[in-house]
Amino acid sequence: MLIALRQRERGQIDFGLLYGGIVLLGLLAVRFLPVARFLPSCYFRSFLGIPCPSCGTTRSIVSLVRGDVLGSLVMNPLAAVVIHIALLWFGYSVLAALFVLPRPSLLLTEKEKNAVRLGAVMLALANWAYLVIAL
Amino acid sequence: MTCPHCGKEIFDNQAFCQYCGGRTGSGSPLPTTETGGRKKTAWEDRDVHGFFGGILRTIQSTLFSPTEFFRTMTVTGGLTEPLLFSLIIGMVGLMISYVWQILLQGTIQNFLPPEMSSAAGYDMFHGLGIAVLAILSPVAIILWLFIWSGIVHLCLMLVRGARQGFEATFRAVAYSHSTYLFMALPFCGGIIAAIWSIVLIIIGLKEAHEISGGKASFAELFPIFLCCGVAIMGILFLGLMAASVGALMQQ
Repeated sequence: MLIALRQRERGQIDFGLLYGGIVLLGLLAVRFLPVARFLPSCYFRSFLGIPCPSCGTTRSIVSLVRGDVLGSLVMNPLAAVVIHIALLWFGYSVLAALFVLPRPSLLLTEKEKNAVRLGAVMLALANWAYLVIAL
Repeated sequence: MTCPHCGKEIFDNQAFCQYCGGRTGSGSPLPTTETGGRKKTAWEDRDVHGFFGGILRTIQSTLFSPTEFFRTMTVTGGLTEPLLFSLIIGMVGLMISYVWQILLQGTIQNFLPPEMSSAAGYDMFHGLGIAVLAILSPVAIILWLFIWSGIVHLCLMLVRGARQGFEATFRAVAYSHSTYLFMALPFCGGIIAAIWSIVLIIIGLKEAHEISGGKASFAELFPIFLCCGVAIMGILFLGLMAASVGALMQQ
């Protein structure tokens, strides 16, 4: 594994700005608009009786925009962590765009990539197991 | 040849390094006509086809010969053109569907049970609500395009299917929005558009990334399953239809 600092190339998609921006927009929408009121309930849960892997995400966002970080983690830990990472990434991308800073990029071997894939699946399953028990 | 970013050995004429994802400098980064059997879509080649010619040819190709379209579609050249295509088609389909909603409001209400039509929130999309929805639609289309492309691309990465980078996924999803035109059909248009779009995205991912149909299907269907089971909604819908037909036959 190698972490390299690189300048953004011309024409390269800035995923931090793009997806961090979308997450920020979502948080602002939940904070200032009655979005959460119109969201449908979970069909997965209504049908099978157990929460789906993304259950609690809306409640996690609502808790977060109210400043309740712990409550946000309780509702859906994985979603809360992903939102925090996206916001940090967005912040750094804005700074990097303004001050032409290098961006960290992770270089992985094929074996390490497989380990990351497996880790991601395990993390999602562990999060789901927590939701089934907790929600 | 070696990658100028990570220094690893890669194939000659490879535009991107498979290890670090950096551009290698080989090949044209912005193809004008053809690159390795792939070419601009008719929509992107508006100098030749014109605005309406380009859009109509692209719609025709995506809907009726999707395999050929996505097999020859360039997977580089920027996100703007596919985004614009998706936005135009999406807006046309949605605007006509809003007109239907306004015109057929009374008819739809007759089919609804009284407790549903009197439920709180039922009126939220009528009158001014539809106008607000129409204004928000372009934002919603753009956001949805990026969100869905991102989710599908993550799923592709999970199964080692993201062979051509994010842009290929984005293009497959954006051009699959040709089916939004079916939203102009009253009642069943939305369902046709949704199902056909799923099929097109799977074909698009398969051809754009040059991967197996299984990986492409997983990338498209797995998030649908995770995102609160649209599949389950489909099963419920079929169940309701079956129950209704059964009830009619008993009368």
